[in-house]
Amino acid sequence: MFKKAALFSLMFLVGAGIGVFAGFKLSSSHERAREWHALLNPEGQQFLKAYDLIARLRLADMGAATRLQNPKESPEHRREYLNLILDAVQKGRAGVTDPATLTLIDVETGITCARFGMVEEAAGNLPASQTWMQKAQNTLKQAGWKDYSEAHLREIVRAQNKQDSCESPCGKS
Amino acid sequence: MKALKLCGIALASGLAIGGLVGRHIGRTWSAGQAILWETSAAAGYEQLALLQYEQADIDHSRQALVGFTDFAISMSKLASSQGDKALLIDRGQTYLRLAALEKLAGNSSLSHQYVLSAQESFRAMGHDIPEEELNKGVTKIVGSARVNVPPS
Repeated sequence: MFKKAALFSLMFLVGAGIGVFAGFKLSSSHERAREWHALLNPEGQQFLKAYDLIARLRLADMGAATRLQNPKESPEHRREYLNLILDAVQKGRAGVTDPATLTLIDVETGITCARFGMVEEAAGNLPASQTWMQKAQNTLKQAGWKDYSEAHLREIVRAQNKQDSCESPCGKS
Repeated sequence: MKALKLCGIALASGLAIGGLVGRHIGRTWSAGQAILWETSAAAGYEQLALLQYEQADIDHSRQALVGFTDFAISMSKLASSQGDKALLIDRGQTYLRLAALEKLAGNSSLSHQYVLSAQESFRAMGHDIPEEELNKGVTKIVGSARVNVPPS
């Protein structure tokens, strides 16, 4: 009797497991199709690539800013988060064709390089800090910035870190 | 034979209940993810466009603001953006900034076009703001932009 009950329970659990997996997969792909149905043309596909990249950058940005604002974080951890942003840019940039979005991705890259420069400076790696700062200055100059001096970039980064970490849910602890 | 039949019933009822639960989890998960992506993309693009508007030369400022309005229009086609009033407010405000930029550049007819586009955006969220009010907003932006221009 006990063996039978155990077998029925097991069959029920197996069925439930398969059902949850199948139901989850089916409904999430249905929801995704519903979300994007108006953008399934080539133009829409281009937009979705930019949309996905900008959303990823935003989330990585908030994570990085929160770590940069936290004095207890190690330089390795900070570098790791900043590398996440540069990796996302490297992987996603090729799929974006809109010139305005590409320029804004360059702005994000420039700000990230300046953040890297400040992290390296705090860690005592002055040559690396200078290299990152120069990269930031060149990128932002290309993006049309009027003032791309090191002092100004530091000011912008400090303000961005403060703003991004305040907007991040983990920054509100 | 009876045991086999009962096993089948147990499996089928597990599948049915699991399927319903999975469907609910899938819907909730996807909706949450879509909202997170929508708000992140809108905030991310707007923040970068505003930074570019404040820091770059006039051509790049204009490109960034037009880029944001185009991005916001495309975003409004997403199911998760339906009823997102914040996106309409941001779009309207960006049109006002563009109107100020064109007013400063001496393109008054284009500036007027942008004011009308801003009015349309605000109207879409249920706020019918008179053109004069919006023009006052543009003048305010122009005034603050002049203050920020360093003396040559």
